[in-house]
Amino acid sequence: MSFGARFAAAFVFATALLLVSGPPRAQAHPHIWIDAFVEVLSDGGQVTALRIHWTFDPFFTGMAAADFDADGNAELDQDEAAELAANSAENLKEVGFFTHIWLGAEPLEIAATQDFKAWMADERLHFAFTVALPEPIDPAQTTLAVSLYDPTYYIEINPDPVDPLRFIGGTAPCFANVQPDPQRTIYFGLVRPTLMQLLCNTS
Amino acid sequence: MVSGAVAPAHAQDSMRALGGGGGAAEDQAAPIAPGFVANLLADVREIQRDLQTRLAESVAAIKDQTSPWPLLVLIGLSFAYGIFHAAGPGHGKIVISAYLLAGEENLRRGVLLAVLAALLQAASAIALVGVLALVLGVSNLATADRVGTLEAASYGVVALLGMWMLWRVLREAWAHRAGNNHHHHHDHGHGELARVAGASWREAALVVLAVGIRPCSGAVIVLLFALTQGLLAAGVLAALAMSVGTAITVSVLAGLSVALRRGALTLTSTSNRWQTIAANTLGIAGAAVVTLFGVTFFAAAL
Repeated sequence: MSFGARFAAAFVFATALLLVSGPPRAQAHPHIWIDAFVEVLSDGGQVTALRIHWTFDPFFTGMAAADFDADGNAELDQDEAAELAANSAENLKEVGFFTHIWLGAEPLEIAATQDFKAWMADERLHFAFTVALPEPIDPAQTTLAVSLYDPTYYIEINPDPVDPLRFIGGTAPCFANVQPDPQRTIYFGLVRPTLMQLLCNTS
Repeated sequence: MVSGAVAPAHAQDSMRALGGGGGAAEDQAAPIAPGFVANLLADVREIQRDLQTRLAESVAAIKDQTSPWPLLVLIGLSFAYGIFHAAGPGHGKIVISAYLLAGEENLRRGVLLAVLAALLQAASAIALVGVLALVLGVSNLATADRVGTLEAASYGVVALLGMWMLWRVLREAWAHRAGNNHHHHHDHGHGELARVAGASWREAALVVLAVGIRPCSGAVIVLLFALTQGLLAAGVLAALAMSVGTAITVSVLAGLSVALRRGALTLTSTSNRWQTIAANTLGIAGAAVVTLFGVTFFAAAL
């Protein structure tokens, strides 16, 4: 056997071996799209938690729904959706839920989420989960900032163009300041994730 | 990992696919591209996203209807998606361009190389989905994840290719120089130059393999989605149409590279010495780019 043929055979064998046994690899540029918005939850004017809402693109919806369709009825039933949510809540820990929160200048470490839900609506897969703040903050004293992005840019997360940061039950006059992050870039400096700040009137 | 079992066995893989591997954040990376390039690429991504949504809708339409029209729409959309998708990384544009710049003066061969690499990327996608998802019953998301494994293999071959090119180009440039010094013959033209930096078909095949072994990720996603809808044949057609689209984008760059090389050799054609210097410079630079690219990305993938 010639050198070329031996090389080709060895290459095909090694690749096949890697494929069935090797660890998964990351790849860049978006292949999954998520539409998102953030609800700011509060109690007596104090911000207590953020609820993140995701809506997946049709391809990811189709693939994930088929993967978790345990009974094969081509529907994501309630128990299957719960299974998907439980798995996602666990595995998204590794990547901090693609959710970046700052309390003033301090980044918040997100170890876990609450009420992780997955469901199908309008033929799209939806996720929602709550990130509780370690202690309630006064949004007039501490500026809350949120940015949703995958640093590897495998997933592109697009905040709702109309109302991406929703403050519910606030007493102080607050507004959402939404802009491309002036400090952070991803994807070889080509993409600035959207930075959402909750700015409140102190007077 | 490789089993027909249901969700829990694959959950880790699934969400890792969703997580894109959870690589380190490059939060503080400074922008390296000027604004208009970033804007242009943002537009391309926008178009790509729009096309992907339409692709999903057209697959669903095929399922609902009996007329051939939705299938034609799917093929047309896939073709368009391929053209735009290839603007993103991972379709061998850098490797093919650098390789052709280093040693190809025949436009037809250069374009053929780009087309074959694009077709092999589609074949690789079809094989990946066919073997893992269809035969072995690996979950959709875990299968999509495996693109990255083949990508790592591709970088490995690119690194080997680059080193081979470097060694050969340097050796032949040296032999050529020594030969000139000893014999003082200055009558060689293009035939001699082709030997200095020209390509063999074996090397060209290695380029096609290096680039083509990595499946087109867009094709993998369309195939998997079509499979979930029970429309594998439509998915295969879409993947092939997509590769024709990517072939066009990569061919344009391949043509530019060949033209650039030919331009440089024509400009220096009045002097054998300068033409040799031009050919050697392009050869060494192209080989260096391929090597650096392969080694850097292979190391990053490990």
